[in-house]
Amino acid sequence: MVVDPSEFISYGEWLANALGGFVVLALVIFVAWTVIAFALTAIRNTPGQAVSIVGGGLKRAIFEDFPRSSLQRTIGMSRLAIQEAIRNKVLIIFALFVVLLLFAGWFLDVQNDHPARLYLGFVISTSTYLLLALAMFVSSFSLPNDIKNKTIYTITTKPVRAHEIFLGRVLGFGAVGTVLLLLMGIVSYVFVVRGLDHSHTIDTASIEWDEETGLGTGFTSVDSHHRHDFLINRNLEGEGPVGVTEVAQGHSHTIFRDGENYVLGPPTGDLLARVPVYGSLRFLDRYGRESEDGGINPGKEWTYREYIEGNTLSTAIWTFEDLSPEMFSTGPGGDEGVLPLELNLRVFRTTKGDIEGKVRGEILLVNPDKALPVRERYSAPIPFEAEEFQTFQINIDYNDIRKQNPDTAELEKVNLFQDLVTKGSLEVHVRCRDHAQFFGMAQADVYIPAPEGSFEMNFFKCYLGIWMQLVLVTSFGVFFSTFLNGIVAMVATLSIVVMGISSGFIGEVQSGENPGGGPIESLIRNITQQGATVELDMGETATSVIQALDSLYLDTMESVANLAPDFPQFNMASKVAYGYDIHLELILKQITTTLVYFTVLLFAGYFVISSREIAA
Amino acid sequence: MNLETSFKRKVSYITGIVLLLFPLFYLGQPATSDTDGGRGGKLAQLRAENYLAQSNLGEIDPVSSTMQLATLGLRPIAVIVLWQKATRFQKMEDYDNVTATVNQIAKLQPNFVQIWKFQAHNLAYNISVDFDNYRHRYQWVRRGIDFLMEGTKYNSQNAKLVQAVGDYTGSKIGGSDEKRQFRRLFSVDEPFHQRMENYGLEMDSQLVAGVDGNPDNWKVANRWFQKSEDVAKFSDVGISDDWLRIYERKPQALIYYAIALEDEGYLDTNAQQAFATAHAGLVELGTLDILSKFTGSTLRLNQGDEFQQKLEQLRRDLDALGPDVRENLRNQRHEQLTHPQKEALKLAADLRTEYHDRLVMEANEALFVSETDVAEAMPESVKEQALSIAAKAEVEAMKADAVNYMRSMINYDYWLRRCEMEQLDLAINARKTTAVADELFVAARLEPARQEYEKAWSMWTDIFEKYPSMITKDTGHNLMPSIANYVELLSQFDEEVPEGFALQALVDLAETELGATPEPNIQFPSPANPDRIKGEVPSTDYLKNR
Repeated sequence: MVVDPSEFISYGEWLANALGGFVVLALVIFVAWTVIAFALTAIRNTPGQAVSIVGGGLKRAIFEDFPRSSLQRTIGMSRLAIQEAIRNKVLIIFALFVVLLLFAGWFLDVQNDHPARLYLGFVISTSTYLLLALAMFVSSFSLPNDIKNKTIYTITTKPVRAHEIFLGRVLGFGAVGTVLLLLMGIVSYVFVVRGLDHSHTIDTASIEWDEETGLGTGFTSVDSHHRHDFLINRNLEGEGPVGVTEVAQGHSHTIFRDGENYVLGPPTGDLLARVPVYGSLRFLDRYGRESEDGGINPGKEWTYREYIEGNTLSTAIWTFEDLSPEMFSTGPGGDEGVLPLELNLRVFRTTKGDIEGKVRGEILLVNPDKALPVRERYSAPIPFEAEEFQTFQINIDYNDIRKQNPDTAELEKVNLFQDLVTKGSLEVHVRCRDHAQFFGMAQADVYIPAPEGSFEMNFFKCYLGIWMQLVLVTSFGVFFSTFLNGIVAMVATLSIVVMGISSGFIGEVQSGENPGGGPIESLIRNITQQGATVELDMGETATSVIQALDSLYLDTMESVANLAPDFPQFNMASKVAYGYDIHLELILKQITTTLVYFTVLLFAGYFVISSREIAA
Repeated sequence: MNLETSFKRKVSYITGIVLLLFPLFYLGQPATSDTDGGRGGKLAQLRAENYLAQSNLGEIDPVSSTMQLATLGLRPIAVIVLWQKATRFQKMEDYDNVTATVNQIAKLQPNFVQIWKFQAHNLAYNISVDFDNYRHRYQWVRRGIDFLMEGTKYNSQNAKLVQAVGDYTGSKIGGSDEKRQFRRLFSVDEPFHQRMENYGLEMDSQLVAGVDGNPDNWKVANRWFQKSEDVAKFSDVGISDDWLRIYERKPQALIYYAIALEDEGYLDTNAQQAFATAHAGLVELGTLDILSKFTGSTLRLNQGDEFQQKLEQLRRDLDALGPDVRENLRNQRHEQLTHPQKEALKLAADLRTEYHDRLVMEANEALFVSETDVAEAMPESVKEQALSIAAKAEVEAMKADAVNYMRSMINYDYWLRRCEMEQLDLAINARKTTAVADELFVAARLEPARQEYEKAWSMWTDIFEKYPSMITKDTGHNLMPSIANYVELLSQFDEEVPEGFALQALVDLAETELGATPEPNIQFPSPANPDRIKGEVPSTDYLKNR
């Protein structure tokens, strides 16, 4: 699974970095409001009066309106918003969602290698799109409709404060959205679990037995578009499992004995919530020197993973911190235990090599304390064979961790925590053994697995991310509707969502990483059928003018996009789909972002509503 | 505006709408299955004439139709977005989503054949090689073939698409580096056999069974080619008169099946039988009427000799009318050649450079005397009769040329002879002896290995004496590693390949193919030069000698 490097930043560090951005966001909106309010007031009155009116407004906000907020009035406003939403038949969205699920089998690839990923991706993205569209419509049209129908009089003539109108709408629409999201979440969960549930049968007569070992192999029946290879040990007694199937479509089954026959348990391994403990990653070059440029790129367009060269000193080094014996020891005294490592490497071959064989690698456990002599820092290599496109686990038994005695050349047992871990820190070195072959890796590709989390909890956290997007979109919708008419408010909200989603793309176009130029240049290329990677053939002057205009446009777009929330950050579908636990820190970052935007928009909405002479 | 004006306006709108209904009806009336032949409106007729109507193209899928409808006319935009997504997913190695997206594209444009072809190639050839485990690679090849098969469901009248399924089943599974592994996996892949059976292939038939009784990929490919022929006979969409390319595949798959058996060590009657079947397939190909683009008429590959004999007879008849005319014409033309052209013609073929080759080609063109030229040069008394014979001769010449061209296009003569040769007991014994020698060599039993090799070379010499046209790289491709072993074996005895080595011709051929290797002049990284600075750009002079 691809993990954004920003996820490795701790919440504290992230907050320290983001704080500046949040302050800028608040300042931009405050200054914009002040300038616009002053300008509008100055047009209607004199500049002197404008200063007094705007100043008065600020004073009233700080000393009167906000301190005297009423929860009762806000709840009352929310109730109105809920009634309005229900009147507008928003529940139809849920019906639409159910219909989509009913026909999902039509357009989902049921033969996919990882149906769980597809199913989860589908339900999560469908829930997100439907809910955000709903939030956009409901929140953008509500206030303008009230103003148009003059029903706003019934509210403004009552002692309701401006921010309570804003808050009431957001909370009311948010509550309706929450109920819908909960319903969608439950239906989605049932859809995924039911959709993946299946079993196979084993034809006992077709099992090929090895008479010496008592091991039997064969194929299960084909169900749900796949079958499994299996291995059964008929010598095992009792009611426990007697065999296991190979992984197919991202899961396997345990095999039990049922009289003379064998039956399969439910699928396991497709709905997981692995909890990875990540380390930091650095590289050594082929001569064993620290590499400033990281690993090698063997010619891949996508540079997420870096590669190390086989049969050289090229090494990928993960440094894990805060390790303690309690995490891995299985017996008293800390002498017995297992250090588990999960790897998800890529293999790049420059020669065919042994087609049926796997590329070999080795792991060295290394003490990061460089003050120690080298011979004391390194464990003996622990060999492994690389599996691609699937996470494979290597359990390093304490008894298998050895070090070569330089005097006797004998391998001697070492104690992991006494000899190789310093202050809770351990280095894991990964090398490729085979000449002319390469291993590819990114920081998240090697980690220590902590005890597995609950899939249901992970699923819930993912929907929490959708809920926060719902709150954000509703807040923006209500905010824009305080000063724009319905359709324009909706377009403005949509623009914010699109900008938030595409900020990365805008950055890529501006930096040239995404070739073809800005909007004008790409339009010309389209019309004149010029490829994206060739020089624009329009003459030097025209090209300069076009590119300058594009640059100006993209600068503006990027500035606006930077003000919009980073919506992709809230989308955690891939984590649930690939079976990785959503870390609490990630949720905290999202909650903080949502709260900041909500607060800023609340204040901005308040000032706009209070500035408008609605009842006039 | 009074009531009357408003009423008039409404009436005029309604009249306009009613009038527009007529052309709409004329253009858009759908075709029906009425017994009176409901051909529908103009658009429906055009679709039917150009084989564009859904019902003409293949199966109609309700999912596909629903998805097309659900895009509300934005189908092209949806397709563009999906293509971009598929490309991005592929770049990011998210292959599950690549297949999911590709399936959606196919659902939106099921009758756009290029999508099926392009994406099937992408799955089977591009994505498969990104996987290190050969079993995973096989799964992606299988997925590519599966995708193509699905395409044939929606485009059941496109013979080329059906042929592509055969090509992938044959060449990708049986021609890759991992062909042994792929062929093995394919032969026991029952779910995949079942899928193929669902597309109308009889997978339990002897026609697809390999030596072990399980379906063999080459023989299955042969059945797909049969299917593509059947489709082509019914609808020639996409064939563009290239019928030879449709018919040649079936016997070709059988030849490769036989070769695969030999490669896998079945050096017995299995291989002989397979070559006999392939030979029969080639002979049958020779009897088919195939449309020639040259003549515009149908010809058969086995008619070459017949046309040539007729041509010779007509030439003799023509020459009888004026015995020296042809020779005189040739001499005159030779006189008109330039000095360098004459010199180039005198030069032995192996001494000619590229420049000389060009001169010789020009000279031969200038020296060419057509039958009409001969007839024109005849005395007036017989000219009319000569022209009549020449016209017939020109037709026969064109036919003979067309047959020769078609035969050379698919290397027909070579494969025919090869199939004959491989059926000989001598050939099987020669291959068996070579294989035994290889095994002995690998086991470091050098003396017996040498004896076996020399026995094998003697057999090969006999074979090549009988079939000199077999000395080609195709025949030699599985002999060259053995010859290399033999050369290494001799070096163990401090000997070199003896003068007059029986298979020297094959060695020479391999050396000509490879050309001289250039001196290495790329600087690899070293501690002194860690930045991998490359040396001079490698010289490409050696290419000129190829």
